[in-house]
Amino acid sequence: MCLLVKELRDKLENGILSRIYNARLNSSAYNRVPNTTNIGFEYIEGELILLNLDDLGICASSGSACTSGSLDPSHVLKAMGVPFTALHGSIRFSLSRYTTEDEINYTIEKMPEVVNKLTALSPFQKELKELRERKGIV
Amino acid sequence: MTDKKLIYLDNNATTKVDEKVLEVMLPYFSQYYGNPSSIYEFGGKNQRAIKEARETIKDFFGARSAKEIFFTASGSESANMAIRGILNADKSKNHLITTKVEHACVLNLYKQLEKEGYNVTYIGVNSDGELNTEELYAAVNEKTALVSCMYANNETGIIFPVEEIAQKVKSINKDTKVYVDAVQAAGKIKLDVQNTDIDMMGISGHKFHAPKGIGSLYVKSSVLLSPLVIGGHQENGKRAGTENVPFSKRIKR
Ligand SMILES: Cc1ncc(COP(=O)(O)O)c(C=O)c1O
Repeated sequence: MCLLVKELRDKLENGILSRIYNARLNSSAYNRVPNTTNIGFEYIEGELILLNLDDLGICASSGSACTSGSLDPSHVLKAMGVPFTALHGSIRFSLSRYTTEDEINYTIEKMPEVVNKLTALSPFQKELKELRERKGIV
Repeated sequence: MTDKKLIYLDNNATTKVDEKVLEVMLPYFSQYYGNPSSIYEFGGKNQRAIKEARETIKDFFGARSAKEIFFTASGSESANMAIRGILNADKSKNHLITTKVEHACVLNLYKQLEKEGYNVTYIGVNSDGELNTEELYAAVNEKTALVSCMYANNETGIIFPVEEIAQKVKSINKDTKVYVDAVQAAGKIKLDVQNTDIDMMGISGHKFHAPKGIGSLYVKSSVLLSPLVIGGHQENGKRAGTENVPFSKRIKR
C-alpha cells in the first residue's frame, strides 16, 4: 500500500515536530498544497541543516537558497513575521508522487540527530534553555 | 558519489521527468524532427502533434478553447509574457497590485515596472501566510491595470483564494486584469479556469514531472495581449520561435 503524498507530508511534519523541541511549523494554515511543509528550527542555521542532510543524501531547501542564492532570509517568511530566531533556520520539504514511506521514515529518524548536533553548537544556549523550560522539558 | 543515497524532498524546486513522458517525447527529437511550419508532410504533421498537445493542456487548465493556450519555455516566461503583454496592449492605467510573497519572476518584474513609472501596491500576509484579501480589494481603483496573485506559494504551500480574488477585483473594476501564477498549484490541485474571472494563468512543466524548458500560459479569449517575443507567426503571433514539438508534446501526459 502506498501512502498518499499528503499522508506522507503529514507524517514527516508530525514526526519532526514531535521529536524536536526547537522546531516550529511556519504555517499551520489548513489550505496548503499536499506536498509542502516549511519548518523553522530555532537558534540554528538552515544552511548548516541542509549541508548535514546533504551528507545523508537528503535534498531539501531553505527559502534563501532557492530564491536568491544568497544568505538573506526568505522574503516569504519575513512577510509572515516568522520570528528572527527561526527565520534563518527554516527548511522546506516538498514531496512528490515518487516519495516513499521508507524515505520519510529515514528522514524522521535523521532529523533529530542533525538538529540536536547543531543545537548543541548554537551560541544561544540561554535562550534554548528558556525554550525547554517553557515547553516543560528538563 | 554514484551509490550515495538520494532522498529527494525538494520537488517544489524541480521534479523528476516521468519515464512515460520521456518515452513519448523522444521520437520527436531524432525521428519526427520536421519544422511544423513547413509545407511538406514531414514537417506539417507536427502541426497536428502540437494541436493535440494544446488540447491536452486546454483540458489541464480547464479552459474553454485551445486558442486560449500558449506554449512558453518556463513559468518565468509565462509571467513576463502575461504581465508585459497586458501592459503593452493597454497603456491607459499605471497602477498594479501584487503580493509580497510572489516568486522572484513576478516580484522582480514589478520592481522593474516601478522603475519604468508604474505604481505598485504590495499586499501582505498574516502569520499563517494567508493573504490580506481585504487590503487587496481596498487597493483596487480606476487606474489599476493588473492584479497578480500566485495560486500556491512555493515556500509554504499556502493556497490563495484566486477565484474569489478575481471575482471581487472585477466587481470593483471590471477592466482590471488578473494574472495567476499557478506554477506551484499545477499537478497538485485541479485547475478549472473557464468559469472564473481569472484572465491569465501560468504554469511550468518541470514542477510536475515534465522536462525543464516548457511552460504554458492561459489567456482568456476576450483578453488582448501584446507579444513579448516578436518574430514569426507561431503561437498565433503571440510568441515567435519554431515550436518545441517534443516538449509541448509532453508537458502533461
Ligand atoms: C511560484 C513560482 N512561480 C514561478 C516559478 C518559475 O518557474 P520556472 O523555473 O519554470 O521559470 C517558480 C519556480 O520556482 C515558482 O515556484
